[in-house]
Amino acid sequence: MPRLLARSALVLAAVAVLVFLATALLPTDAARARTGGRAGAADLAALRAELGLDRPLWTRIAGWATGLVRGDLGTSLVSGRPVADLLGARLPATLALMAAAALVAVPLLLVGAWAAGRRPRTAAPVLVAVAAVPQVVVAAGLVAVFAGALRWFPAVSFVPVSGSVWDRPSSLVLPAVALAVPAAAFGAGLLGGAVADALALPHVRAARVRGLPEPLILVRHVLPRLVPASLRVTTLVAAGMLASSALVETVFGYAGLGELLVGAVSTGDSPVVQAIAVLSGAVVVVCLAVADVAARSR
Amino acid sequence: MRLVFLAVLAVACAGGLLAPHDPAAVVGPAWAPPGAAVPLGTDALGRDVLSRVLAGGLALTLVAALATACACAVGLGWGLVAGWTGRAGTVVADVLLAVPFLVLALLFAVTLPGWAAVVVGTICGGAPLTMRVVRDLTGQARTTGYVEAALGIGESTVAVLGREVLPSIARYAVADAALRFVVALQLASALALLGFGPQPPAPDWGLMLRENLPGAALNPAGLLAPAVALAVLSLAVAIAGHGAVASPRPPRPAAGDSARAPDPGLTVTGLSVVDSAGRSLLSDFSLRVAPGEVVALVGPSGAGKTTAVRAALDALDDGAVRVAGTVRWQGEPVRPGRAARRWRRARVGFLDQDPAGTLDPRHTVARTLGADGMAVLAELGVDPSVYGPRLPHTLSGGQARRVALARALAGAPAVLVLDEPTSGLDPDAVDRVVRAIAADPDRVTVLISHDRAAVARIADRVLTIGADAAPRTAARTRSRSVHDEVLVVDGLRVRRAATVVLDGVDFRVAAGEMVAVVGESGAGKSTLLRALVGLVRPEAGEIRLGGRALPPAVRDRDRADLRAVQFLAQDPAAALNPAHTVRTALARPLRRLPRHAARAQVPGLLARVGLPPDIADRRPRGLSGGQRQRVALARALAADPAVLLADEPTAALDHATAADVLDLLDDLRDTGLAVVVATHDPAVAVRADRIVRIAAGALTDDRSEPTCVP
Repeated sequence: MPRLLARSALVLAAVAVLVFLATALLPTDAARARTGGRAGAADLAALRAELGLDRPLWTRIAGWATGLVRGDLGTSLVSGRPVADLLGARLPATLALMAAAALVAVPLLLVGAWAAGRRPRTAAPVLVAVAAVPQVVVAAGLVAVFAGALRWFPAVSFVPVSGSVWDRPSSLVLPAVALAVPAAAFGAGLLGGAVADALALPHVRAARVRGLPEPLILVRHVLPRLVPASLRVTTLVAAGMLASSALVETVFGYAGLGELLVGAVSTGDSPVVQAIAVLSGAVVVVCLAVADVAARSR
Repeated sequence: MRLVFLAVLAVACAGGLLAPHDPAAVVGPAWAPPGAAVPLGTDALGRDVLSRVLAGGLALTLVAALATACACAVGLGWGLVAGWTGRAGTVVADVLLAVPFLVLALLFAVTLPGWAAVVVGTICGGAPLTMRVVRDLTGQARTTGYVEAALGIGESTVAVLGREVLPSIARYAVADAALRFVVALQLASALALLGFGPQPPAPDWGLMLRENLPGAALNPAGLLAPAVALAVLSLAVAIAGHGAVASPRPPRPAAGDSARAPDPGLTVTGLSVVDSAGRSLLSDFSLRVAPGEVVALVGPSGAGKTTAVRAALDALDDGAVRVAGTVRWQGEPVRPGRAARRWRRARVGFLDQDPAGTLDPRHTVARTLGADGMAVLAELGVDPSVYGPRLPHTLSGGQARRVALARALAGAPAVLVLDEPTSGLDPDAVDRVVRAIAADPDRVTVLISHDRAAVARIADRVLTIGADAAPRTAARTRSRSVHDEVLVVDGLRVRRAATVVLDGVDFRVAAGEMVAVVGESGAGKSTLLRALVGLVRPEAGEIRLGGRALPPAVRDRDRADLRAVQFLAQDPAAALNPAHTVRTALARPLRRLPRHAARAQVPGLLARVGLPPDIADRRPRGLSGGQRQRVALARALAADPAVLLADEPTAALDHATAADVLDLLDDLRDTGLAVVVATHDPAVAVRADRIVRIAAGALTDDRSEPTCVP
């Protein structure tokens, strides 16, 4: 247990360093982003000094990381507002979208995993096929058919400035489905593999030869083995949906964290990008650690 | 299927050549619906959608292919090293996998151009997954007989990884590459849609989605066409990759017929079984067993004994299907499917050929057996108070067999089907098993065994499947002069976890001598042989070969040492690399010869172990267990060893073949080969010049004549 915690902390710290290095390798971008590329060389140099970009890399990492530990995510290069405020304003919308997507994804995932485990020859290839359809295709296809041709749902899921997305639940349907279907197919493929592996274990086959009824085999020999796998798959699916929200929210014009991330990438607003990437990494590390603890305590 | 895949790939890459218009030229009004001149309509600027779709796949496919190649190369190398050394760098993998790959790619898109972000994102998000797959497969391959055999002839680590491990995992690597390509395509199209990919006016499927989203209501085809193109390319790759590892569909089973006959006991008529490729495994097998009768099935390895009983129980392994025949119990037909399952549960006790695997690894012996079974276990000579709380992996092979047998016997089943119940048991345990089988006077018992002595004691009737076994050749009387000692062991001590398995073992073998190591199952016979070959590291003691000390670990021994000591492992199933033909497997130890000369030796080696030359082109899945064991023996002989260590070399062989193999060992001993054989089979032990017994970690000379010779 202490080892697991230490390991998770180490992984999280390494994730933070990786994230910082990936975005901060070209220091000019940050200063240019702030000025929109119109400033002269002298202004840029002054701005770099003000932002601390002329300091050596390791001192910048250290400064950023100590801020992170204190809960200070830094300041947006574009708007000058604290990153934490930007994230806090967008978080409820993304959580609402994730919750709606989970309502669709979880039943699909369970049914798919069971079908793939029981019938690897027929159901598993279907899952592989569905999971292979790029998310952009699912999102664009839903827009073209249900918003473009049929006009059942709005093509743009606009969140009113005052009030919440729950005031117009229909605007959540298409983004939620676009998020859920690929994630559920991916997760069902993973979990279906675990189901098929468990069903093919020699002692499970032997139980079948001994003539035990299928439900008894499941309860006694199969399901106890699937708990850790289910927890891990849930984590991966949740993380996948969080990442895909960048795509889906942009397609539907939905003002959540993902759309914020995409906007920040295009303006080179690295503090915002770093904060969102570290946040999603932290969610994964913490959830996987919880899954590990649950797997060991069994 | 393959043609479809290639056609899709060709259109995606070279479709631009078929485009009716210049993809960048304005040919009409914006978002015009499909018409004669523009079959898929126009886009936001009035350009031809069809032409742009045809031209829009090349860059995307190339970027995805580049990303896939990089991710697979990194993951494959990483996985091979991690699986081989057991040190994985899993923290690095966890770090890379902690951030979802799309976020990673967006992160890199801050500073890198779009295509580079796709490549880096695919490597960071995909290589760890490839690494895990390859690492696990490599780890499994590491302990197989074929890898140990390659190490045993002094192959370098790189050669073992390249020649043995890589071919055996190749099809999984191909399937994995398809998954990486699909992910790379997802990334490339996502970044393009978000505006970080190719910039206008380049034709690109992802970028087209971005440009045509606002016109979804005016010209849906502008959105659907690139979406469908992306989906088709992605699906073609995914399905082709899935096909690389999927197994073929089995033929349909036949329904049992419903005719009646008033026979007591078990009646099996005209059973035929085919495998998934449609080859016949068993044809027209019939069997009648009256209550109280014990029928033994005998026959050479691969004749279909196990298939016959499993078909009768409707419990065939994956792929094999019963295509004809009926089974009746007390005159009533037992139809395949649910009826057969209920019958098995209510009436049948079954012992699998590999009983250890049938025990749930997480259930203790006591939980597996219940109270009835524990009582039976005591009768079989395994102390319930000692072994009840244990988990299956702490049991020896013989103990696990008796636990599974106790489970089969518990609850007094009316039908008992036992596949090799006495294999690997010491004589006392065999006695107990024989008594337990004979205990119920009304039971129907079907027995498969290679153990002639046991069959003679239990069976009322013997049914031979396949060609009849050749009469046994008498053990030859041998007179030989005393040669020099080739293998000298002093004070060997081996510890496994907390138990000292061997303690202070002294042991000598002379050239041309055959020493049989006997002892109860679990006494440490296999451990002794594995320590001699260097696969188990002893805690103390010295092993000398021809007067020189041998390093204790296999990887410290030089090539001549390795070749001089050859090992024949217990499990023929994992002894041969599934990816190699018999010819390749046998020619490899001969590689000091030119390639054609090495291959020319293969028929001779096969003949020495009694196999026909045409077997050289088969792969292991086309061989029976006995044939595999003989090929493994031929491979050991190809290294031209001074000492052959054999762990139960005849356990998987029928009687006639076993006698041939033992004759062969006798001939080889005349040329100076020393043989150490761990065995329970008295027919093996009787041929030995000396018998040594392992008990309580120590080795003693066994001066008594072997008893119960068949």
